[in-house]
Amino acid sequence: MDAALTGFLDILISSGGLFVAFYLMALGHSIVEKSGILNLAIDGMFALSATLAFFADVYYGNDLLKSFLLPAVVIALFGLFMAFVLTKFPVSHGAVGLSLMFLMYGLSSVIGYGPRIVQATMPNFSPGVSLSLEERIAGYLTMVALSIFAYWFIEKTKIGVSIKASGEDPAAAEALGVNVLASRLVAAAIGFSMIGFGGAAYMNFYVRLWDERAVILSGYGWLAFSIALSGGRHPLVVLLTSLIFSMLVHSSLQLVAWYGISRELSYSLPFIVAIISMTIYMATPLRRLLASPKGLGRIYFREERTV
Amino acid sequence: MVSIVVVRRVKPVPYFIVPILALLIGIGVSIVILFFLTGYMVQPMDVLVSIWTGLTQPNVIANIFLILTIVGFSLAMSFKGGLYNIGGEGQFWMAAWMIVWLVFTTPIIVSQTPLVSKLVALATGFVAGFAWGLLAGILRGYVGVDEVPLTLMMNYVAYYLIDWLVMLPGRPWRDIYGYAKTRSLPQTLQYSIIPGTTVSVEMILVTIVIGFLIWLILDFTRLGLTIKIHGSNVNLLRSAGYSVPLTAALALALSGGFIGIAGILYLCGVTPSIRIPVETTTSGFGYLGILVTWLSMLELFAVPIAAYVVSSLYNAGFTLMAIKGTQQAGVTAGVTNVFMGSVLLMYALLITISEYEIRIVW
Amino acid sequence: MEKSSQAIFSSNPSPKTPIIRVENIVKRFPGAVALEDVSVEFYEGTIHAILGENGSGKSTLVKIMTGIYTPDQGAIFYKGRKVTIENPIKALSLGISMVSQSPVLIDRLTVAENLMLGLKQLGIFASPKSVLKLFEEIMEKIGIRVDPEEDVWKLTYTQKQLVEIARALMLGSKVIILDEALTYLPLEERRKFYRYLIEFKSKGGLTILITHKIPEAFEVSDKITVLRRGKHVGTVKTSETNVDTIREMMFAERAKEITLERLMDGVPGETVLEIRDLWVKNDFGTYALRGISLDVKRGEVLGLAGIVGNGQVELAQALMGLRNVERGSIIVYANGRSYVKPATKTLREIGVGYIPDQPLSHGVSIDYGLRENIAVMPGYTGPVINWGRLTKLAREFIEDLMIVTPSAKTPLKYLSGGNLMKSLVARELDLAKSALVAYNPTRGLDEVTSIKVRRIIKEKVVNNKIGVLLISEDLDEIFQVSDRIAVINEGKIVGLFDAKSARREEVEKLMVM
Repeated sequence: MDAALTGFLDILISSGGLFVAFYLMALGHSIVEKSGILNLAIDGMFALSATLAFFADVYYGNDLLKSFLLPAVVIALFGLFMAFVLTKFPVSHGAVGLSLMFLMYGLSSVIGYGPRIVQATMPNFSPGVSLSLEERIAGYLTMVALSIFAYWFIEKTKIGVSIKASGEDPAAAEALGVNVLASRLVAAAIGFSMIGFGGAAYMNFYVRLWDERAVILSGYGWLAFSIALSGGRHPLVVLLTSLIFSMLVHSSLQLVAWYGISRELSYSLPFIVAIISMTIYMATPLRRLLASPKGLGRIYFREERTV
Repeated sequence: MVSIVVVRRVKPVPYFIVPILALLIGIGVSIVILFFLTGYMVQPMDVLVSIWTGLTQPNVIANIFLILTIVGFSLAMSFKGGLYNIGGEGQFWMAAWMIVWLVFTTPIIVSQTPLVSKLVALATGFVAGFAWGLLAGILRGYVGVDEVPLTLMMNYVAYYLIDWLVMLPGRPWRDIYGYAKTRSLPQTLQYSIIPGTTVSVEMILVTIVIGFLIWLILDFTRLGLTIKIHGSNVNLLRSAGYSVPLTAALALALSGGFIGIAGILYLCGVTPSIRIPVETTTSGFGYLGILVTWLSMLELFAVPIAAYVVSSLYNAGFTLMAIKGTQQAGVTAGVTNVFMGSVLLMYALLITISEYEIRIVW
Repeated sequence: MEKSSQAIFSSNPSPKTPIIRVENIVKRFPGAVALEDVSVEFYEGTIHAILGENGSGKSTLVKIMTGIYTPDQGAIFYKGRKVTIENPIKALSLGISMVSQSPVLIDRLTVAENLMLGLKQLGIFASPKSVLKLFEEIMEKIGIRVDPEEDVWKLTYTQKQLVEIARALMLGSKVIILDEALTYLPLEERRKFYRYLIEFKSKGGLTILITHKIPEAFEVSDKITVLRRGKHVGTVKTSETNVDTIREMMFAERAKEITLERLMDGVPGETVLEIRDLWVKNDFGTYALRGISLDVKRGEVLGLAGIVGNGQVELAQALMGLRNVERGSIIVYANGRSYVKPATKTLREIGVGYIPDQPLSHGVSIDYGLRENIAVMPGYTGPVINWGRLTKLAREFIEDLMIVTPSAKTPLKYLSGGNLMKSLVARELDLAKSALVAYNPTRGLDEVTSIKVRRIIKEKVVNNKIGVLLISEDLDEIFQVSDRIAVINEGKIVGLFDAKSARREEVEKLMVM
């Protein structure tokens, strides 16, 4: 029993960096989607933000501030573009999201190779920082504080209710006096920069290397998507789902050591669990209790014909 | 105060305007991106020349063209049903894996005549792709899980599963010298290239037959109509008495099945073994196919045209890599994603102007 | 006009300057001109009705005034100044608010959350609780009892409309537009609102009342503007005109065709649809139907009257197999046998037609043409589709109902609203060999087409001996078409009458309770 507890705590602590990354991405994604914007670009954004963080680390000498700000700003700009276009024009959320995803994969591969080659010439250089125990615990606590703030912001303030209204029914919201575009832009600015911070956290606090498989082909953005969805996009519940996944992903390597399953098989585990968790959400009362915004992904077009 | 107003058009513009504009503007955007992000290493002329090379040398891109055409047709089937099958990669590779597994563990296929074994191989591919697609289809249709993250994550599951299975020690499909690949398929299954070209008769025939078959299903059968209505108005389908979940599941499964056939064509006609890790060695036909299907505006006859163009874009990425100095500047196979993303984005934005008019009011 | 210290516009309202003037407004939609050169003046301290049949442009006009549409030509003047109203927020800032027929309140939010959204005086970090006091005051004034912390989906239709009026007041509106907001309420319910509107008028507020029902326009308005086919026919003082003159203005030469007189009698035969003790839940998990029992006989129309939101949607869906039945039974008698709780597919196969409440969302696919919309129904095609036969059938429908369309395969989205509805009705009537469940079958159609559709349905009932359950929120329609009338209220049947002898006031009273 003791060994299991110690093992559990070990994984809890060592996966702290990944938890921060997942939670930031999932929370940011939740805020964006609560405003009605379907964000299928999340994995591309993850790849691009991790790559930009790496870029900043290599070219600015591991300046963490720049390493976090650069991805946040870039992703926020993309996100503001998305929010603007998807609110003002009858464009498909899914199509825009997926195309941005591919574009960002491409940008990541082009932007990443340069600093990678430069890094190879810098012996003993490692991006980001290796977190100490206290720093990891601080990370957990900061995320909890963030979740409480996010909950208050969304549920208890006028701007939060405006964001929710824009996500439920933008036409009705507008008739009720909400500036849907402004609300979505606010949600986008906050949510997408959080996603950027999340990718930067992944690079700086967890994986601390850049290659295609760790960044572009990892699919962790989609894990964040499932984390947000199965958590009902609720700032507090998503804490729990983020924790489950960060520990699961981190321990998959452990599973290789403990149960002797192959490495490749362990890579597939988080995705299988993600699919199961999305299924559980959709197939149970969770779907109604933590319902997704009614207008999520719906094209908002004002001059509709009437019959 | 300037304000933008969007109004529905009385008559839509000719439908080929959007794909052509999307291509032109998208390529333009890619050129700008590549020029600046590679530190001016990739010149605009380089990009245009590399695309032109692909367009004017059908022999170079022929196989990719044929495979993308099939994938394009298959995805049209699910997209017309309103279902985004992003899982083409998984369906493609699971079919490829299935044939490798069957060939090296049972004598069923190899003991037949070449013709029969090739047909059985195609059928196997269809079944494997159908099954992988059906899995997603059931979760989407009966549980309501969003098919985009679902099928996409199933791609990763497929990649890793195959990576694991191929490298299992002591199995009959393992490469003799221990390289990270399976043994090659026997000669009886491999297609023979037409002299003077890069393609085989089998590939051309199968592509044409599949295209024809999908057209028949979509436009002349009740099943095809229900899929199309599912993509247009799910409530109507329900009030007509059809099972909406079943229709969704079938659309995804059929789409997967036909993509599975593309996987078999790849193994029998292009590369007779699976190389590991799949996620890095795949050409990404399952994803490129999405671009093909969208550019064709879901019109079946335009699919081959779109496939031809996309094959040239795909090839352009490799041509660019061959230019001196570009690889160090960041040009890798990932460049294709820059093209794909830009064109797709322009398409997603421009498709509005085909149905809507945009006015500026002040 | 009384001058009040709380006057909304000015302490000296001048009857000479209109508060709102729309001038030469033109608005076109694909394939139709909605408004042609319309100019109207609205004055403060008035209740001004805009009358016109469906399709006359009255809804378009007010949507332009509230920023939902932009005019192609023309100008709007507010207090003498030219303004552009590019979105609803601009309209709200001018003090123009609208209550429409379908409430805009967002179901999943609470009343308080909905109300706080438009209030400029609240900062962006304000809590929903800050509206509570203001809302209490206004509730007192209008005389309603609603818990502001309640989720909106739990309110009744009337409550939602009242909350919307409260909202208009909280926003300090100077102009309240009611877009058919009260048209489907019984007179007694309407009176609750009229009390308030008269007070609003006495303080100088302008109420614009949109309706297509002439009696409603005469109930409380000071002026009536009539629109016909997108043109302004005339504006008169209510006290100086009468119903016949207005009818003439609304329908011109077609006035003779338009009658609300009862159509021919049905000839009731055997029961085709038997509903016993039906309990059905709504989308939110509470019971919408609480033990409904009804019989529909062949050769008759059973009209079901009621205010929207009392279980009609759930009843229609449950009958058609589109919603779960928690308790009770549904039996259809056809082909010499009985079918118990038939599935949707079976219903279609034995010939039960369905005209849903929202034809666009449930009844047709606008991306495809009439022939595809026929083919999707069971019984019209086998596994392989014979387009030749279907096209021929579609052409018959087009001819029979005079549907205006280029061809049998032109996507329905290119048809006008009326023709789209006709396409749906044509198909459903063809399919209906045993029975028809019709919910608001003429909603949104102009008067002539509406009467035509009702007549065609009644003829089919009498000639082909099908049974029709006509669910409608339009009481005129119920009285015109039905042989028997049932009244639904809060999920129960509260009255059953013979249509010829039923008295309208009694039916209306039961609708409200």
